[in-house]
Amino acid sequence: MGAEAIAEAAVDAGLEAYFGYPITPSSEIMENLALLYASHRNDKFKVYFQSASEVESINLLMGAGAAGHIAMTATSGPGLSLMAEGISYAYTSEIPLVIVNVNRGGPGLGNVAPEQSDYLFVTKSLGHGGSKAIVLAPSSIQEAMNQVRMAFELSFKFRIPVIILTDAIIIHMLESVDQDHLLPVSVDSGWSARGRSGGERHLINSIYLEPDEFRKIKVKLEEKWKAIEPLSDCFMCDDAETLFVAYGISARIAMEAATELRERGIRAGVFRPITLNPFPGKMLMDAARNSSRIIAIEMNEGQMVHDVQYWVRRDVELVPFIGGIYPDTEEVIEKCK
Amino acid sequence: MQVKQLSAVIPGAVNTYCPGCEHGLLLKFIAMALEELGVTEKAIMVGSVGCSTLAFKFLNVDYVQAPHGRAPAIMTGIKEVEPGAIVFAVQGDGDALSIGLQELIHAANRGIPITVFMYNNMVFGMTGGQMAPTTPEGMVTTTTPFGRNTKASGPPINSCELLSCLSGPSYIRRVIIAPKPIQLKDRVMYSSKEANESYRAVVSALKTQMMGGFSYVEFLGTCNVNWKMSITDSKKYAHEVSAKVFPPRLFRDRFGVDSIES
Amino acid sequence: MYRPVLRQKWDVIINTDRCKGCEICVNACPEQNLQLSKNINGLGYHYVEFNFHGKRGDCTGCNICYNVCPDYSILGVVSGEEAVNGS
Repeated sequence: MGAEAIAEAAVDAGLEAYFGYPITPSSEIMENLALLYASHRNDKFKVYFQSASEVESINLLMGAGAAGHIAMTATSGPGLSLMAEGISYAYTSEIPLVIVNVNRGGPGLGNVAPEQSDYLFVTKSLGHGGSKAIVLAPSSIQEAMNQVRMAFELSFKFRIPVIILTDAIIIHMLESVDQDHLLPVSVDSGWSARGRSGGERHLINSIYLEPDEFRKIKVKLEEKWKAIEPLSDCFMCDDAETLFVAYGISARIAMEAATELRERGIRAGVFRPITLNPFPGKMLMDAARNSSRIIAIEMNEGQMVHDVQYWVRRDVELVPFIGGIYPDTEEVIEKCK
Repeated sequence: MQVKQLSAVIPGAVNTYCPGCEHGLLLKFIAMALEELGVTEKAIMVGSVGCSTLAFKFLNVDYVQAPHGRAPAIMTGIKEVEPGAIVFAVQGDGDALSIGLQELIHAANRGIPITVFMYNNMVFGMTGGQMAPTTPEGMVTTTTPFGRNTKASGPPINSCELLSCLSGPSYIRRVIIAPKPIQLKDRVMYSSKEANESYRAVVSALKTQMMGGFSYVEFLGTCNVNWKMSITDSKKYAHEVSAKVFPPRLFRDRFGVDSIES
Repeated sequence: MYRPVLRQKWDVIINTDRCKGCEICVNACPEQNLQLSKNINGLGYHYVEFNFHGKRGDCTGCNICYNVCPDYSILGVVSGEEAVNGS
């Protein structure tokens, strides 16, 4: 199951600390990690406990990350809202941490059915001051496992929070995966706060009272962000007339629809962003150059479609699935007629 | 003549506190205690929001800044992954008991070996003197210009008594850090008993952490600028009002560190 | 030949650049050896000055000033010697 796979992948990749708070539909990840912790699957996995709230979760992650250790949590929409403060602090303080967000129905308490309605939150408004994180979106359980390891690496390489945006479907579906063990990551923690130990003291800080000083820091953070390479996947999109743009589970539906449409003589393809932030805009522009129709498919009222529109500079159509309903291949195909 | 300076203080640094505030005294005692216990190289300070934020400009230890009120959670995260470090935080009364009350209670309940030094001056100092959870009834602050009305805001919170309900903490103590003005025939003299007791409390709290327990010390200090008093008047106020609302005493000393001669 | 009689003389080492003139040490000193200078330091405060022969008596090296200073301007109290009558 998706939750099991993500938990195992995290432990195999070298997770050191897990702090979490239960919230449907992400609780299974935490429960699986409890079992893996108790069974001593990996000696590196030394710390596991349930926090008192998501506010406490994000701060526990910040503490572990500031001390240079790999830490992770899993949550869903209402919990991620509470973590926004901590993510903002972690962005400027350059603290690595990984959050698996399982998108459920929202805003508000919503429901526990799958949606992709956290897109705007995680890519555009992840906390005050313009804070952001690298956002990875898997569309299969195998990819989710690989992305957990990638998230640990990226978070330490760039000293930035990383969010893996899944949804309730990926977490609960069953799929076969390659059982090859993931290689453990090795990270650099020389900058971390572990006690002076005879050297210079390290400052993990996000307050810079002098505007000049803060400007330098922000410029440095922007430059660091620009060095992150976006990732994407192209499914039959080289010669596509009709290009679907979708991520996560919607991309799977889009690929099914595209295959079906090809059999009916319509040249359809799918452009699938893998990093939602930074968004693979240039790659999208490239993939869409020969397409006459661009259709965004997402499980929300229309969030990613604005990014697509910005990059392709033409009208983009939308197939929305709102409220937690499962996306339907037939409906997508209908749109293309 | 030269004298050996504390290694936990940045050479030449000036602390950012108002003249007469004992917050600087608390930081100095922490530096002295780290040196006495020989743990300066293993110390990690977690900063909170308020007057204590800029402690990193004075203390020369590894420092991680926390959002308002979240220091106990960040300290827990650090201590869990680095159990050999000595992790402590200085929080104000607003930071610890207003926005941070949940984090403080849960960290205390878990009994993780970390140390919280709470500097209680009964107002939000850094932001200009607004009412805090520890403001006593009738005290004038910028958000209670006619005095705190307990019918509307409730009475002040006694944090040591609150934490004593939990079995997690190993050392809970409240001391007055403001020197007591004593009226002599020709002048007002300040007692140094409070300073000595506060220093011993800091050492005991860190010793408790080294022995594996959670320690919490509340220091009753002054804020003469926001209380709009002279320095000597604010010391009098601390002894006449603060000490009555928050009686200083030892609440819990599970390992008996207070009675161990160093 | 008389040998000089040496007696203990204390010196309070002060970092005047840090002092904020709060006068806690001035009030706490039992022998009144400390008082604010007429000069001001870089921060704009009248900093504290030490005199071994205080208003009430000579400095006894009690260390109270070092303990109560909130700014770490009093860096320490060190002992030396002075001759009371030379040869």
